[in-house]
Amino acid sequence: MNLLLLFLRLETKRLWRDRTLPLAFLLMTVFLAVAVQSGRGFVRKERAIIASAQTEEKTRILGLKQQIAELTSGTATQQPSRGSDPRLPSNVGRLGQHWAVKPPVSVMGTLAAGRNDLYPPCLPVSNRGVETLFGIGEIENPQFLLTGRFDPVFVLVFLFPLFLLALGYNLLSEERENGTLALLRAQSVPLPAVLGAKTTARWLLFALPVAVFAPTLLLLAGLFGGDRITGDTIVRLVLVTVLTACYGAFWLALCAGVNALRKDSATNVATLVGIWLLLTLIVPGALQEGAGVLFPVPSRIALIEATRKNSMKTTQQGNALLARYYEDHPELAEAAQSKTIDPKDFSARRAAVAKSVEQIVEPLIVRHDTQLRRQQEFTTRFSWLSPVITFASALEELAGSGAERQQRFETQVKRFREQWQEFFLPRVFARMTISVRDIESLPRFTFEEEAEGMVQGRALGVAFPVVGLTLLLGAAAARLLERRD
Amino acid sequence: MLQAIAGKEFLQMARDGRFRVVTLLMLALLLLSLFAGARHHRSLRTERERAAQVQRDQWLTQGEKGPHAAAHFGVYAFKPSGSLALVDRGVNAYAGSMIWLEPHKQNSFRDAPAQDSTSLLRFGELTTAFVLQTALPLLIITLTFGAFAGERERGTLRLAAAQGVRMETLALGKALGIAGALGLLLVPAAICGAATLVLGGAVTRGSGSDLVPRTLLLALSYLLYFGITLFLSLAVSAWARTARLALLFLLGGWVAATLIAPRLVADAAKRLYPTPSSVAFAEKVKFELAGAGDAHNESDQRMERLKQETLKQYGVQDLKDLPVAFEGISLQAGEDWGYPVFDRNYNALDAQFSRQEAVCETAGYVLPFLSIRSLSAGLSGTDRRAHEHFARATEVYRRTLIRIINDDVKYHAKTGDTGYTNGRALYEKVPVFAYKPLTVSDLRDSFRMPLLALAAGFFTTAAVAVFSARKQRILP
Repeated sequence: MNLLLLFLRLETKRLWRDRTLPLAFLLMTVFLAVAVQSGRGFVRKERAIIASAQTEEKTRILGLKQQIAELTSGTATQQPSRGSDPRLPSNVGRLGQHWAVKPPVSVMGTLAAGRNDLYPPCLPVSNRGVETLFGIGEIENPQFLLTGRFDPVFVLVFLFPLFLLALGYNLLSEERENGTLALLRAQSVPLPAVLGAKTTARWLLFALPVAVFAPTLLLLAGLFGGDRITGDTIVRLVLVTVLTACYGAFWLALCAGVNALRKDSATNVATLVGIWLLLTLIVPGALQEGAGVLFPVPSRIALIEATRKNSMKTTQQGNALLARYYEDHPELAEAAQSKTIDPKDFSARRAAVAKSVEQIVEPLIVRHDTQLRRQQEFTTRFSWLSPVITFASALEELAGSGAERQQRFETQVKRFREQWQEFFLPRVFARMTISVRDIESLPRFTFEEEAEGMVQGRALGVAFPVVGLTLLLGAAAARLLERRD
Repeated sequence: MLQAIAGKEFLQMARDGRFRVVTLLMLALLLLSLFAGARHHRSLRTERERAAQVQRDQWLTQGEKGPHAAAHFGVYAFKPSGSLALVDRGVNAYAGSMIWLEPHKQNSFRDAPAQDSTSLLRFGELTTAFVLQTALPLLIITLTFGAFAGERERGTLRLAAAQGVRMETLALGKALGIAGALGLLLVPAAICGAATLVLGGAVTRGSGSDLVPRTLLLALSYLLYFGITLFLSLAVSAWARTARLALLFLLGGWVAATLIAPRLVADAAKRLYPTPSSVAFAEKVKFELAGAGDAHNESDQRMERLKQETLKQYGVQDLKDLPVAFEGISLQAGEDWGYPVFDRNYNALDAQFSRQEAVCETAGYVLPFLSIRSLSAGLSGTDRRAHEHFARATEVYRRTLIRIINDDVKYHAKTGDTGYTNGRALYEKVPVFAYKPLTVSDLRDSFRMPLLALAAGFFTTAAVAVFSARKQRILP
């Protein structure tokens, strides 16, 4: 402990005097401030999209209600075409589309755009084919999607380790190159203790302050931005601190391990940067390629092909399908016969065809989703190959921009679409008309978040392998030094 | 003297075990990325060619129906994958891969492959372009950082100076020697790349004529980029007091240039020229279309005017007396009214994206990474401009298709006759969608700026390296 305190004092003095520490703090502060600003910008844009979608829906629904009221009371000045008559349920299923919204997580959304910039924050649910529901992207210059965002997760995942490498590449090598290592050893200080103390000092001096500072900045940005701050937000922010501190410890342990190999400082830098490149860019890239080869996801092209092929086939059987539907739902057939509308009504036939096509292509969608899930499981299973992957995914999870939350949203939207269909299809088949009251009782989507404990638990779970790896690296470094001492 | 220095530098490097290990690793990475690229490219090409064929068959065999209903069945267009996409996938993962062409509206592209991938995609794809643009400069840095600083520390620089070696000659000799050593990596990689292009099925009939200049330009661009990295590293090595300081400075520069700056420039570009949201864009188009006229709504005022104009044109009193079907005229008029709306909005969006990219290209004068990225994807036919070109071609095709269908209604149906149908004979009149990608000469203007930036960077850094070498301290 005394040794640690001594080195803490000495290292603080040294790193402060040669301006490494103030420079690192300054740069990190600037990077984090810019990143938080950029993250806030992204969340602001998401919120603006959601707000404009909700305003659009409100205006549209109001217009529909007004149109229905006018048509019903006979005060309408213009008669709508068949395709835009708001009294027909098949039209309202489309014209009354509802935006299913996935709101950004308060405060935490700033942390990472994650996969959120690939998907719009709201999806239009209507009676259009299920294949049209997904696969829509938010408008963005694809060049910038490729580049990625300068958000806090980028700073913490990619740049933070580089600062630690710059602080730790010469833990022992510099002492050796300056000739001070021999002096230290002459005082019978064991080398593993020197290395351990110097590493811990850097963790305490830089990694820990950054781990506390980054979430504090997020919190301040949230407070000034008027975000709602709850107990869960605070827990998530604390988790960011814990994870960042563990992640920092891993990189410093790596520095210690490389220093234990007793190479010169330049070789240490090259080795550490090589490892950084491997862990941050090459391993994730290789895992992604591997997942693609092992679990190829059937492309959406195949889904479109199958939908069209079956749509052609079933359209020819439209009347038969409609008849079969009425056999299955005699109550709707009776209701339909009592109407004066042509029994070969186009809307009902089209709805029957669409429903049949959906049933046929459902296995393809399931296969697509299963393969994608397998890819994700594969990459998660092998994510221990790089703590960078686990750390990044944990932060994205906490930010509400991870794959898990998106998957959850899409599953709920699919379920909601079924609810939407259940609302309209019986009305289509019963050849009913839509009233203002029907419009008021249209199903509405509310995104159900996963239990907070689950999200937090999963994120915290990442800390254990990182800590394990850190301890392992530390032990290996100590062993290596003892053996050569 | 120059030759002797270059030879010595080359030999020293070739004999260095660390160089051999790192070069072999880099070569393995390059080959791996090339083969992965070839596999990816082949599967994409096969799938999209097959899909285009299936699409055509489905269009032709959709059966006897009303022509407008047939048009609503529509066609899908699939973005082809160019031969050099195996080197650089560019924005392919993030731009949509297909588009539905139907009457009344210009749809947006959908199904970007990135949406169907794991979260790891955001770490970057392991492509040849990634290795060349990101990892190879690191190799150059590790080979070069000690070129002057290391010799100064060892005292050999003083010896060389004492023997009358001019520092400019030394700088050029070292540059040539290191470039020669890099050739040991790049030449086999280039041969493997060419072989993969040919044997991997990337070279197809018709792609050959354009492929050669594209590949040569691509090679030239990368050589300029590597040259910039090499000269900059030499300059820093000459300027830095110690090899360690040179290495730290160069690595910091590498991180700033390849990781930090592109993101900051992108953020700045978006801030200067914001991208509209999909909801706002769709709303604007919808609003403007509503003002343009609805071909399906008989009570639309503009439609009423069209009726009167048509009656006047044919000199009849009633639509039923027209020698053509008014439905065909009105459907086409509806399309024609919509075109300016789509053109205005999509052109504005394209212009906004171009302005954003212009910011990046300007920054390319100080950040060669941005220039090479732009050139590499552009020459590989995988940048946003290539995507936009394809999008425009699909829209031209959509308009042709719809016009053929509407003309059929106009000239073969009768006004008010909703029972008119047609079949394969009509569908065959619609040509197969044949996309002709941009050629190198088409791209001249868009490549000028990044290529100029790279060339300027090359000569400037060469001059800086020579100047730094001349002005450097000889003693440690």
